Amino acid sequence: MSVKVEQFPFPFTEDRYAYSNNSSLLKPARSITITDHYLKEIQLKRELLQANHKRCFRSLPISLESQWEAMRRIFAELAQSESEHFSLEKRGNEYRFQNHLLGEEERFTYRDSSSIELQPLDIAGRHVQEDLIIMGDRHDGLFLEAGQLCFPSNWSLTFVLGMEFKSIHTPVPGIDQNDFISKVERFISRIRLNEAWERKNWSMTISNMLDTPLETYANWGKLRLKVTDKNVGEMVHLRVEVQRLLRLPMTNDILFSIHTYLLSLNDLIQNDLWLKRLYTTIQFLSDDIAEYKGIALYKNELIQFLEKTLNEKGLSL
Amino acid sequence: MTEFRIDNISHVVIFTTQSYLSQANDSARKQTKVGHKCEVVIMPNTIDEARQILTRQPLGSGVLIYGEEDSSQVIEHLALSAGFSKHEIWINKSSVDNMRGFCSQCHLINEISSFEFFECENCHIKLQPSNHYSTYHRAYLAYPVIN
Ligand code: HEM
Ligand SMILES: [Zn+2]
Repeated sequence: MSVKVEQFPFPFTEDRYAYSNNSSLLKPARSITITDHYLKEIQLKRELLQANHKRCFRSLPISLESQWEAMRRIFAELAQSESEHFSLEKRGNEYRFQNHLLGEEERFTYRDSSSIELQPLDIAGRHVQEDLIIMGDRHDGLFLEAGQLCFPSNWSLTFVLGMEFKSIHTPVPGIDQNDFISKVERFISRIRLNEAWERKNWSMTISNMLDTPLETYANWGKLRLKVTDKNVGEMVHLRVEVQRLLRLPMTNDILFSIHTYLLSLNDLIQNDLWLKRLYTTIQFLSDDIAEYKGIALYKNELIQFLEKTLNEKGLSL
Repeated sequence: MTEFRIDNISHVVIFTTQSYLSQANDSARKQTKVGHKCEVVIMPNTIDEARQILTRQPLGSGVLIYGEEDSSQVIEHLALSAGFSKHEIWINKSSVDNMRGFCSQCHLINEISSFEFFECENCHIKLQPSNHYSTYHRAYLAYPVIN
């Protein structure tokens, strides 16, 4: 689903792209954003969870405490920042969360598993557009201990469950150059209680599919071969993940939220600056990263399209 | 996999091919935890380089090898001729004999014997194992091959 141009978090601040720790501190600390696509995306999420629960939700027993903390935190955040759409009432340990957009409510007794039918993170995720991941902060590293993941960009939650932060990133080319990923891990380990940091990650998706898990790659990966100079603008979408890292104060674990946005190139090129920045980024993209992001298969068509558009608009770089 | 733990060594040099790098790194982390000094080396291209690395190791070192059978044997030979004794050299045979390939399409873990393509026993898709290794599943992630 493409988002409206005004809500699209365009990721490029410079003309060239290199992996960097492009994180910034968020004030106030937030994990969640509601966009105009809320209803459609929640419906899609729930269909995916219904049809493929194991693919979209996984957890280790050790994550339960942080899952409770994350759910309460997310509901409180929604009630505070979007108070016309959500509310949260508390009496002792009894909570009632109301979602007025969906006309639903969740009642639970905090930390009492018999009071809920699904695991806490699995409940919370059904009310927000974000994918939600819990990274347990253990003495020997950060481990992926729970996740509700409906809209991944070509990775498998089941495979990475229980894995450590650095090993999760093995497939990313050059990620260990200059100790990059170890530095990122140290950065995360120093995030303070209640602090939230935000960064953007980008890739490209053919079609406006949010659900591109590795598990169905054999179906959607083929589309990359179907890009032609005629359909680039319509088929190719810039995919941006707004990722937020929040330190949960009770358990000291990290709540990692991923909000995915898609924008077709036809919409993107309406903005001259975005067009220029995308063009230079793609042009200078190293071959291994283009390969990793799946762009290599249609890079020529993409470059030609962007050059043609720049010319038509009479823009120079 | 049996653990490599010899108490009278203080220093371990780990040779690995690119494909076993994450396993080798995991192993290095474990060795470091039990107090060994560790160095991970990507399998050198020439025998000379490998010999140099082996001869500069201090006394009381051990050699750990992750790789296909051929290259593992070469390093083993070089280590022996550089003065290491048999019990100071350890080849991760399990990595070669019973590797596990995680089918990224249906999640079945297949027994595989190399990094060659294989077909998943459950969903019959053609898969290519990668070096993405999970110590939790004890398996390598295998990606689908699209023609
Ligand atoms: C703590 C939560 C995080 C989790 C769970 C996580 C997980 C992942 C996963 C699963 C991938 C895809 C790997 C694959 O292809 O299989 C990925 C890619 C990547 N991650 Fe992370 N990550 C986290 C935080 C970060 C942070 C804080 C940074 C950098 C500051 C980062 C940098 C990257 C980069 C550069 C890529 C490659 C993306 C691309 O080129 O498309 N990650 N991450
Ligand atoms: Zn399979």
